[in-house]
This record gives sequence, C-alpha cells and structure tokens, in this order.
Amino acid sequence: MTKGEAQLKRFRIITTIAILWATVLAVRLFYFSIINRETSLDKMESEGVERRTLRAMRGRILSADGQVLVESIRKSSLILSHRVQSHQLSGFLSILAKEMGFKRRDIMIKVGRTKDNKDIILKESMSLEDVKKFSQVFGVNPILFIKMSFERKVLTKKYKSKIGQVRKVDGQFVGVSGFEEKYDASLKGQDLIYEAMVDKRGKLIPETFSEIQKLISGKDVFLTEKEWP
Amino acid sequence: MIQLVRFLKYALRSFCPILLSAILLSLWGCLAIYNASVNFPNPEDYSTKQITWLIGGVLVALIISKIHIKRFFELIPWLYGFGIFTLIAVIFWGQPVNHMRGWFHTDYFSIQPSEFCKPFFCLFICWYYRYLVDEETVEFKRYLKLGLASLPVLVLLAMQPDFGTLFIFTLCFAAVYWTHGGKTKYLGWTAAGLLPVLIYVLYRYPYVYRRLIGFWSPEEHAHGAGFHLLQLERTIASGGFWGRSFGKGLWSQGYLPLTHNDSIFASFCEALGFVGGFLLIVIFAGALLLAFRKCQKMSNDLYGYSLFALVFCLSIQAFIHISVNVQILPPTGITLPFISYGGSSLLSSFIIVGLCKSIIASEKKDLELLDGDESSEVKPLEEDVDLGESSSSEH
Repeated sequence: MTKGEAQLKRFRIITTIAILWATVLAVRLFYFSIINRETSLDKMESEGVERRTLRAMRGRILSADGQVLVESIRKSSLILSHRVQSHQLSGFLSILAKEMGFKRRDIMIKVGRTKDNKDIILKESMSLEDVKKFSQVFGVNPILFIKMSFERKVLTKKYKSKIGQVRKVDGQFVGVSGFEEKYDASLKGQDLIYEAMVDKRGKLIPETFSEIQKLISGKDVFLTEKEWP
Repeated sequence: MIQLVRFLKYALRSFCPILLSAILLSLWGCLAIYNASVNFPNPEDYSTKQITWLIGGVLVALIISKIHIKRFFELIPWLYGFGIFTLIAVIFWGQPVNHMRGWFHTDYFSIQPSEFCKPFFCLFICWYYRYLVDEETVEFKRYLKLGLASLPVLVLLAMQPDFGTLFIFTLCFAAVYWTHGGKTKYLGWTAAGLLPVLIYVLYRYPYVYRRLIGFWSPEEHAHGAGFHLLQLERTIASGGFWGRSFGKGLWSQGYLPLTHNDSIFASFCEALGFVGGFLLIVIFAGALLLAFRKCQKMSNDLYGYSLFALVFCLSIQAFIHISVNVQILPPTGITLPFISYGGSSLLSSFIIVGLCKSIIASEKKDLELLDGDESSEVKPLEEDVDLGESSSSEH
C-alpha cells in the first residue's frame, strides 16, 4: 500500500465514522420524536399543567326602586412573586422607585417579612392610573404582576345589619348573615376553573388553555318593598 | 438592462451551490431563532440581528472566495498569530458569561474570538504539516512541532474556559494529523497523557462535573443538572413526526433553556418534527461526504486536506451540538453552525464557506493555468499545421 492509498483509507475511515455517528443521531431522534413520545408527553402534562381559578364577581343587592345597596368592587393589588430572584429584585426595585414612586426601603421590609413560598403584596388597591402606568412600564410580567380581587362595599348606612355580612372562604365571598346569606346562591355565581400549561417563569401558555368550569357572574338581587321599605 | 442582466449572471455565478446552500440553511436558522424567541420581550430582535449578520457573512464569504487560497497560505502564520493575540486579549479584557471569559462586548454586539480562530486554525495545521513534511523527516519531531504550534490556542481556550470549542479544535487537530498519515500511537499517547488533565478539570471546575452527573442520570437531578437535558427530550417529543410549525413551539418557548442557541436543534425539531431534524443531520453528513469526494479528486494535496479539514470542523461541530440535544453527549455549549443565534458563529461559518469556495476555485484556476502552459508549449505545432493547411488550400 502506498502512502497516498493509506491516507485515502484514513479519509474513508473518518468519513465512515461520521456517517455512522449521523445514523446514531437519526435513530436517537426517531426514538425521542416517535417511540418515546407518549411517555414524554405524559410527563410534560403532569409537570407543566396547572389548575387555576378565576373568581366570579358577586352580584349586587338593590332595593325595589333600583338603589344599589351593596356592590362588589374590583381591587388591583401589586404582587411580587415568591419566584423572584435577587438579581431581578434589584432591577424591579429601581424601576418601581423611578417610575412609580415606590420606596425601596418599604419594599425591602415587606420582602423580609414575607415567609418563603408566599407572594408579596407590594401595594393594595391601586388606582386605575397606577395600573395603566404599571402596564406601560412592565407589560405582562409573571414575577411582578397585578392581581385582581373583589371587595364587598355596603353603600347605605341604614339597616346595615339587615343586609348582613360576607366572609372569605377559600378566596370566595360567602354570605354569613342577613340578605347576603339568604340570597347567597344567586349572588355568588360560578367561578371559572381552567387548566393550562405554565412555563418556567410562571406565565400561562394560552394555546394550552382548557376550561373545566364555566364562569357565571353573580346575579343582582332586587329586594321586595316588604324586605326593604 | 443589459448591465442588470450581466450583474444577475455574475451574481448567480458567484452564488455557487455551496454558498447558496449555506444561505438557505441560515435563513432556515433565522426562522428557527424566531420560533425560539417568539415569547421573548422583543421577538423580532434576535432574528433581525441574525439576518444582519447573515448579510455580513455572505459578503465576507464572497470576498474571501475571490481571493486565491495561496494568498491565505502565505498569510496564515500571521492570521494564526493574530488569532492567538485575540484569545490572549479576551482573557484580560473579555466579559465573563456562563462561567467563561470568551466575549468582547460592545454596546451593539458581542464578539467571540475563538469562533474566528476555527477556520484559520484548520488552515494553519494543514499548511504547517505540509511545511514540516518538506522540512523534517522524523515523524515524531513533526508531531511534536505541530503539537507545540497548536498548543497556545488549546491552552488559551482551556483558560477561558471554553471546553466545548477546545474539544472541536482537538478533534480537528487529531483528524488533520491522522489523515495526513500521522502515527496513531502518538495520538494515543497524547490522549492517555491528557487523562490526568481531565481529572484536574473535573476537580477545578465543579460545574463540568455537575453536567456529567446530570447527563448520567437526568431524572434523578430533574431540578438541577438534569433539568436542561430533560427539557431537550420533551421539546423534541413535543414536535413529533411533522412538528408544530414555526412560532407554535410549546415547550421550546415555555421551558427549554438557551432555546435560541445551545438548544436550537431541539427547538427546530419541535417546529419541524423528526422530518426537519433528520434533514438537518443529512445535510451536515452530506457536506462531509461531498468534501471527501471533492478532496479525493484534487490535484493539490494541501488544497484537498484543507477543504476536508474545514468541512470536518463544521460538520463535527454540528454533530456535537445535535448529540447534546439528543442526549448522547453532556451539555457542551456548542452552537449549531448556520442555525444557532450568534453573529461570531455565523460569520465564522461563512468564512469557512468562503475558504472552501476559494479552494475549489483556486484548484480550477491552477489546472487551467497548467493546461494553458501545456497548450502554449504545443502551440507552435498547431500553427505549423494551420500554415500547412492554408498553404495547401492556396495550392
């Protein structure tokens, strides 16, 4: 064998090894894409899918002549997720201080006081202007976000005890006395329950949304003249 | 109008199949990058930047392809030396990213010098080996000198530390030396001698050890070192046979880390399924096969070896990237040529394309010149014949 032939043989060996390597890669790819696909998809579903609830708005209580006696008010709270990392926190703090007038020290105290694995409420009852500004500055952000909730507000001072009281049970208002208790079934509506895949940042992936229970807002209740003179 | 037609003809001639394939592959890569970054704050940002680098890369490849490869061989010691200088500079003035100091950052873009060293390293070792063949007769001395000449680049890469790129450079060195007819036992001894270094690396850099552990049992380290590997597997599974189409990647956008560079193959497979991934493997394997066939036919040995070394460098990088994505190798941080996001990587790949084109064109030119010389030697005879014929017709 001449030297030229020996070198050619080595070229052939290297090329053959590369082709074999490519074949192994193709086989492995086939295994992941086709053969083992179902197992992987099952694991993906169990790890990535989260069940979430969106509260239904509790209905109003009105007098016979249409005067609103009790209503639910949307409340927007600024929440800092417990998933926040230290480097993200410093970035958020400087933007919040610069754009929204927050005090860094106050936020740090709140962060320090909050227990692990619990989201931190930075501000409760934000004004509409604040919410707009926040959306402009941060957009949709899974770490720093606005959480909507409801507040029950009695608009009349007369016969407050007649109207009754509500209590939050598992995040939902439940009437415990008065008309609130009497008409609880009509007032409370039905929460939306849905399942969706959530990414590593806690952000919901819209394509994976599947509804489990429909959202039905609470109905308004008109009291009779006998009930509300 | 005629000028336009001429320009189009020139452009078509310039865009030979190699360059055209590289451009198409890169455009495919831009789509893959868009698919991977669709959930980022500025989704078009990455693909737009990549297209800008692509335009730059094509221009560089065109310029390089017009230069005779001999010019590069004349300049290669300087180019290689400049490459070493940039690798030294990056250790002192580079910015650390992901445990390694391998980038120069500016306000607008980042540059990774080791990427640009790749093509010139391949050319240098081919050129230097040929030089040593003429100079040295003892094989061991040749190996030693080639090894010592390559050592600065390898040591500087280890100092960054960029073990993925170091692995590619080492494989290129071994392949070039071995295909040139070098002795296998020298390579074997070197590999054995490097074993203690490997153990030291595992001890010195715990993240390398963690990656190996995560690779060995990803399920056991699902929330640590094995997380990335598990997400790669699930992203490929999510694509299935035909894929979910571009922009609809579920797992690549939600969970997969480094989805637009180190994990681009998995992200690509989620978009185009097994079919797309298989096609990509075939393209890179086919490129190596074509280079092998082409270098067999080349009359100039140095051209043939250089062409093979350059294509080997690209294909092996692609194979290592894909191997990591299909869990055959532990994570290395190597990008997929033409597809992954990264200006330095894309530009370096196009430099390789330009050099390959230059080698093929130079071989053709040299052969034409040789033919011309031969024909000029026989020309007087032809003239005699012509004269004879013309004289006979006069008669």
